[in-house]
Amino acid sequence: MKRQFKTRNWLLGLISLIVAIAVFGVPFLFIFISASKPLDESAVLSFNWPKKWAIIDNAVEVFGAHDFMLLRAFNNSFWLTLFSVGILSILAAMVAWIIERRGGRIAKIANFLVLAGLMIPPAVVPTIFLLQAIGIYGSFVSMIFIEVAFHASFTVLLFRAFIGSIPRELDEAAILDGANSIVLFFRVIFPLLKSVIVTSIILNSVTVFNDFVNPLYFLSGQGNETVQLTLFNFNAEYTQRYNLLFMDILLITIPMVIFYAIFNKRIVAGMTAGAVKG
Amino acid sequence: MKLQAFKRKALLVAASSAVLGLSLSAITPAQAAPKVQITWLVNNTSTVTGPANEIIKDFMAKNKDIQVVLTMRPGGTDGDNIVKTKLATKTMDSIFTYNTGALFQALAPSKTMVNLAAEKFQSNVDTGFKNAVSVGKNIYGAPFGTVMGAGFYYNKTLFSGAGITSTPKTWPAVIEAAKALKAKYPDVAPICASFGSSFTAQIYVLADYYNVHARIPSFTANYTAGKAKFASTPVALRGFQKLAEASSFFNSDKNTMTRPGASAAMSNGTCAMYPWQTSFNATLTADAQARTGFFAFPGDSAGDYGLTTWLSDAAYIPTTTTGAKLVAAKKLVAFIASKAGTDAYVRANGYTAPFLTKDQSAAPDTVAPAVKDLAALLKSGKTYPALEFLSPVKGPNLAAIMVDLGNQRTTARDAAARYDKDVEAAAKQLGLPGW
Amino acid sequence: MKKQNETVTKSRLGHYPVWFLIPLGIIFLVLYIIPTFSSLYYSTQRWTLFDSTFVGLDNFASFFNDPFLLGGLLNTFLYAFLTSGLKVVVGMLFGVLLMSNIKFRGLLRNIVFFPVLVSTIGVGLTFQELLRPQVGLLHQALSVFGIPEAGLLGDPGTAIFAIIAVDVWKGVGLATVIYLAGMASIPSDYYEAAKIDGVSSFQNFRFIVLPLLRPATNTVIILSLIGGFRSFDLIWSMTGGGPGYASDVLASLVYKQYQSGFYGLSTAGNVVMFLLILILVVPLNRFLTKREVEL
Repeated sequence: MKRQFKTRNWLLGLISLIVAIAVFGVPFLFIFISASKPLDESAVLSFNWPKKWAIIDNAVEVFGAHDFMLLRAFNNSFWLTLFSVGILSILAAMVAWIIERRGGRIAKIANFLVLAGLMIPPAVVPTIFLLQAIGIYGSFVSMIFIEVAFHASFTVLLFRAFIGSIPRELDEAAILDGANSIVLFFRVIFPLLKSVIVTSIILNSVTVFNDFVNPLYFLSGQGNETVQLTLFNFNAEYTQRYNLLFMDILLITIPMVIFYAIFNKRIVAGMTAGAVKG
Repeated sequence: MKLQAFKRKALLVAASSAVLGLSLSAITPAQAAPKVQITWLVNNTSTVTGPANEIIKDFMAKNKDIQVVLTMRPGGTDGDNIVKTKLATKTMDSIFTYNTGALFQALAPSKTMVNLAAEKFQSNVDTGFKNAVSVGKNIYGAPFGTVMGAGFYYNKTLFSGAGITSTPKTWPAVIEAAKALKAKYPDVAPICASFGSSFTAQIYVLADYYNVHARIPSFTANYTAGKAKFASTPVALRGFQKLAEASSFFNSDKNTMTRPGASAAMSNGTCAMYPWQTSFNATLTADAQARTGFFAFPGDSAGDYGLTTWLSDAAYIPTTTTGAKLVAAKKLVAFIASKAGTDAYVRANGYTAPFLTKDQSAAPDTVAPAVKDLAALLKSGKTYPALEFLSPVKGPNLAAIMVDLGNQRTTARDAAARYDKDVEAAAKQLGLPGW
Repeated sequence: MKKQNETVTKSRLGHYPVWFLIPLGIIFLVLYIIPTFSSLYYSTQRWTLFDSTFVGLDNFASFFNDPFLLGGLLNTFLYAFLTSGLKVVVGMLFGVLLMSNIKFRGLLRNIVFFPVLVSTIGVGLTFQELLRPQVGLLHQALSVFGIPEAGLLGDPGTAIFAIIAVDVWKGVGLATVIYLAGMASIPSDYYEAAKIDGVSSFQNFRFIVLPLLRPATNTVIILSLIGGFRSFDLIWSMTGGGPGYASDVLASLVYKQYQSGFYGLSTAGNVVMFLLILILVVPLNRFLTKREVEL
């Protein structure tokens, strides 16, 4: 009986693996293969192995196009992600702290706004006009703040759930020791938030790095394009040059592969964190 | 305490690097006189970037104190949006190229562009062109590129193989030819559509305008005043109906084929006919050009045969360009509209059609057959500009409406009615009187 | 022992100062709250770059009169509910599969989850090529089996469904891991008690596991509904809303109207999206949460 069970599990696992690779893995394999083909081979979108390996040539050509636009785009995406996620982590923690600890009417209002932020889609066009009125439309700084604003709700909720598990006794002890609000939060509590900070950084980095629609509205044609925007623009240019298009897609996917390889467990845990509790 | 020490270290590092930097700059030889740098925003298709690069090369050789950097934007509606946004947010490049006519009017030129009416190069520009880039007495653009016509490119080899002896000069003849081609060559699409580049779907209505004008000369004025509509004017409705009639001969991948895809298909013989502007010829391979001809978008009867023309794009200068950059920009614009500029243009794309300037090099003796066909049409004098050069009103959703029609999801009349509504919205947006 | 969320005494209030809310508050207010309110105003205007005129509810009426806009509205419903339903069903199936003792479980979970992290634009462009008529990989694969190919992205009738399929492909991994977490949190006592009672594995699933998975299911439903209503990236990169308007959804219509310069109409689209979510998702969330079984 046990042996039957074991064989069944083995067989089921193998079949599942084959199907999973066929359904979920083939597109990525296709990206890799197409990105490795020279121009003449890539015109036919077939699945055969490249006769000539052009992966380095394609990478060089894609990076160098339009005065290293892709390199600048990676630079933009990197700093945009770093700054917006960094700022978000600190500011959202502060807000979550107050909502969770202070309570009362102010916290209720803040909480309501946070929940609204999860559901209400941002009104982009009025935001554009507001930024233009202030005079910072299209600037890198404005994009950072937009990412902060649009991801604030999720991050505050993430922190709130965690802060709830920090006992108030800790606050009391610190206050009796003479800590003011800043010392209390930044010296005592913040270090305890390390785990959820890392989670929020990871999750938000994925979303901000992959964000397309917001840079499309707020950064198009302004010289600060992110990699997602550059990929989209390259598509218009590289029609018929599939090898370069797929090389671009490959280059954008690689950071995520690395990210996932390192932070595998955390990403999954983070994304399911609030889910089960609802 | 630690902070103090760190601060001191940082200060020391900063100070020493400053000293080092300054002394290094003192040792290096004096730089050449600083160049004025200007940027030029163009559409990213190769038929635009190619000539632009040639022009820049020649221009910088003649003006060593100016550096021109080419920047790119996508075409189609994405590009329209980028141009409008850059102008509105005052972040436009030093000069930019864009369409003329109605699309130019939509940019609010009197608020956003520099008036070039007093520049010397204007004496070299055709009057017909000036009208398409003016508001009242102010002229805002200089011609970039050639005159264009619109009509059908056709594969001469396939035509003769199917027994089609004469070039179609009426619309029924086009349909007859399509039927003959379909019978003889089942694997070839008699007429190709490239809805993957949705803006190409508009050609059936836009290119038909010579025929509309030939029957109803007053249409332009009445249309602009909001009195004449496409759906209720039988002759104007024809453009929509022609797309509907042609749709049964389209290629099966019409919705995913792009305009470059159509170039490839015409070049390798899987397409027999393709309607588009005469910039298309330069995108075909040399072999294909040798066997490709061109005929104007025909009307319903033989006497109506004439060419709807497109004026070229123009180079504009936004009001945000000032000082030394403005001087440099004006020089570049003047160069683009000069004989040297048009020569550089021809070097990139080959000779396709005349330019809209008075002083230009003559056409070379050997040109592609399609270019010869176009030249003959232009010479015949039976030409008329497309509606967008005579009226500031153009609905932005014509492409999507035509794609729907080309997929037989609506009737010609409904499509025309929908476009009329779209035009109305655009006119109201422009604040035109009488709408 | 104070309850965790009891309001603090006055003397402690100073240690949880209101000004902590200000930095994020300002950013959130200026870049999100204010534009949301002004969108209510702007959606009633016909609005060029330089001036505006009041047109009342005309912009909203267009969404019901104009066949293109109405089609987009209907597509949005279709997209949201179909992707949500498919993710629940397929996600749960995968969850059950990965919870059992089959071999290669960990590897399978990674393979299924990875698409969630990849750029949506990258996925959209890749599938645009894989699904290309006559030359794409899918066509080549199908022709091996002799199956004639549907128009997919090139056919106005099927374009939206092709995009829905790709959306589920990309997002089912997230649903799966949510279900896995949900199943992992069911105490094993429940399974043991069921075994003692002689319950079959199907009954086990239907009467014990399924109800206890309600929080997970609700999360998947709500998250994918909201995401589906707002979906833009995948549609834009696969078809641009085309052919014509055939695969447009609210988000792509909002962008198209913005491109055409019809800012009032574009903002109205945003308001419609907002109202949809408010009217449909909020009550649904309340209804679903009530039915959750207490663990």
